[in-house]
Amino acid sequence: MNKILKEKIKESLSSVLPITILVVLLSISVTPLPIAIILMLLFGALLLVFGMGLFTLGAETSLTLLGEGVGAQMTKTKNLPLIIVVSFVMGFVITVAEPALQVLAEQVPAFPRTTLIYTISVGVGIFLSVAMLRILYKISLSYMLIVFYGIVIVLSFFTPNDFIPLAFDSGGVTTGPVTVPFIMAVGLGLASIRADKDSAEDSFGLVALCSVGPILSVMILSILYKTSDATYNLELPQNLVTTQDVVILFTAQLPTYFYEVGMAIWPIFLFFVLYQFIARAYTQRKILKVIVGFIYTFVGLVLFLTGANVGFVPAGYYIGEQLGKSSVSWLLIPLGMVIGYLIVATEPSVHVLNKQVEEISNGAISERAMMRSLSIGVAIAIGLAAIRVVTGISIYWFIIPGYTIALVLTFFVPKIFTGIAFDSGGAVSGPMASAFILPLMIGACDANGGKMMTDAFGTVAMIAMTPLITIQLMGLLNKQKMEAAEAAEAAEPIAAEDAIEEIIVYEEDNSDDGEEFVTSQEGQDTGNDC
Amino acid sequence: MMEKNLSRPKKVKILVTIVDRGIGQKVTKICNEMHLHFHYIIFGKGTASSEILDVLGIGTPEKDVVLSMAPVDRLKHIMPLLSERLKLYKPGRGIAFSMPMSGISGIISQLLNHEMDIASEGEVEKMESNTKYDLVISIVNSGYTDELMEAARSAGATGGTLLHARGIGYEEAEKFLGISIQAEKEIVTILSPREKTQAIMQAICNQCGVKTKARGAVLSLPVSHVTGLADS
Repeated sequence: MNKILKEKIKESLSSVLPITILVVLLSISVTPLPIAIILMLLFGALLLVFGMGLFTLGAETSLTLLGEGVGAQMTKTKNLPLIIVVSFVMGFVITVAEPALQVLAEQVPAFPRTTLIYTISVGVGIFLSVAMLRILYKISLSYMLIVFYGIVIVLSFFTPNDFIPLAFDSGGVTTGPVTVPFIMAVGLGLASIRADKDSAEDSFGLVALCSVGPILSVMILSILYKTSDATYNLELPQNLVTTQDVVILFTAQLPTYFYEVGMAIWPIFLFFVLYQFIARAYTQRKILKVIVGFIYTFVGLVLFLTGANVGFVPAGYYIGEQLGKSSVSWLLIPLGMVIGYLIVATEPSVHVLNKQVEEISNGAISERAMMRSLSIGVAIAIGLAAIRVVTGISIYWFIIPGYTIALVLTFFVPKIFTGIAFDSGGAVSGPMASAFILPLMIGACDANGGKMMTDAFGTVAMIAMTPLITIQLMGLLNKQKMEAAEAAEAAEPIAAEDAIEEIIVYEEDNSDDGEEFVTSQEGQDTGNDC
Repeated sequence: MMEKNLSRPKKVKILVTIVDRGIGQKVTKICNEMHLHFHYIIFGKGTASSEILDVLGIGTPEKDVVLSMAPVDRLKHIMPLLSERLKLYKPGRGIAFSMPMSGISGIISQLLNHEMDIASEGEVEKMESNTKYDLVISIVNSGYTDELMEAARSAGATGGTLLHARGIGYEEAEKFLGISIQAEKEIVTILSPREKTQAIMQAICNQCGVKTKARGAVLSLPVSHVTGLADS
């Protein structure tokens, strides 16, 4: 069997199975679920496996390839206004089309739909340009993050309380599975043609700054509109009797996601057509490859989103509700942490991020190490979110210390980890966070009579925040290990201490090994001079 | 310790192992067991064996390219070990070969030769077949690998490994604001039987030589101790 296919199947199965098994186990023990709900979950999980496999297979030859190309070509023109304009347009167009943003806009009837979408998109566009300028003018990412998160915190004091969790959530939500791989690839493309030593660490950090845009946009809107009318609608399936009903439910939703994902992908495809037209970068075969890549990405995302939103939302809600009602509602905290640990692997953009991190660091930061740090981060995040749902304490108690720690850490960890950490905040808070974790919290909130807008929302914000800390801590550990190793090496004299750094030159003949030794004269000199 | 080692230090060669992504760790483990402590893993990519697989996106598996240094006497031990542990004798598992050097830093040579206590008992079977091999290295502008491989394949090459690189020209890198810009390059390495080497190089030159847009430079290096290459 083809190696890559085998690898992909293994990867998707090992990502989706653990969380599925956990939910099934929960349903037969702590939180009994209706059989129909479990059936939906299993069917959804199946779609998730296929969707994830296709998406990660396609993203590399479509979103990533194109992002890298644009990033590299744009910089090569050395035309500053062009770079600013193209970055803005890219950020704007991709965000307008992001399906997660469409969902967010529907959930928040307080603002006119188009106003919300366009404000957030302008926010992302501006911040993408700013992020590119930051790299070109060599401004430290730490300073930029401190300034912008400082503004966010100050602005939050003027924002109506109901909207603060929502604002932070939208930062994580808008950087979805289409945006993250593409924007990240733009950074990689820019780095790939750079010769200076900062190029690896500057590969990351674009998504980080782009996540600030939506937070600011929602805050500004909520201040301007002076509204506190925030609600959220969750639709749960009714009247499921046969297995066929379940399948019908999925197929009924398929066109919706077909349309949504299509909306998200076509601007990028248009970019590809334009880019090819202007730069003529690809050969015919490559063009075919890119088109196939886009098809994979498209079909993969449609399957994935349908599986997640139809299959996982009800299960999440019912589990949350049962836990919230029960006398042991604190159980939500440890259970949430286990769920958080397992759910990270099911976020499609996480796989793209981890792959790119491994690639850029040439294996020094492995996919496994990334996954583990992210899993620990999200486990903590959901633990914190669950504490908020159970006790109802304000999001400020977590957001302010959390971001303070994350920002202070930026001064102590190697720069590349800061970029990766803040980028991963956008990557982990993807469709599964909204499709499973958020309903879980909403269910619990409904059952124990908490305020949904202030208690359940903010969950995604937590998920987007904790990886900033855990990834940077991994960087810190890494740095200490390196320093310890270096110290040990320095303390222990090199075994060959008396050897001077001389160069030994080998003779052409090869007397000491008796092997056939090939000299380079045998008819080799033709062909070299073409 | 060092005095034990009175004999002339053995000549050091470069050992190149190309295996699937992730297996590189095993290679370094085996090298460490053999007290070869200088090794470096580079990420590479296989070249597609067919156009259809390539277009479908499942044609170019990721590879680990492991460079290690080994004195010739230990090379004879490590090659069969690699072949056995990594099952290189099965097709598609990977390849290993060594290349001569013309010089090396003295300290490294001494460190490598210093742990000589490994018993070299037993007659080691000779790994090589009678075929001799060359490593054809082509350095082209980014994006021309497909064309290059097509040309090479038409001249009898079976596959290759792709590495990413940046060009460093004799002129200084261009500056743009705070960053410096250099052209992206791709390095394609092809292991070829001696009798096909010249034809492959000629084909690559015709398709992607210096005069074409690919600006390719092609060279070949002699290779010995090949294991894992299906005799074709």
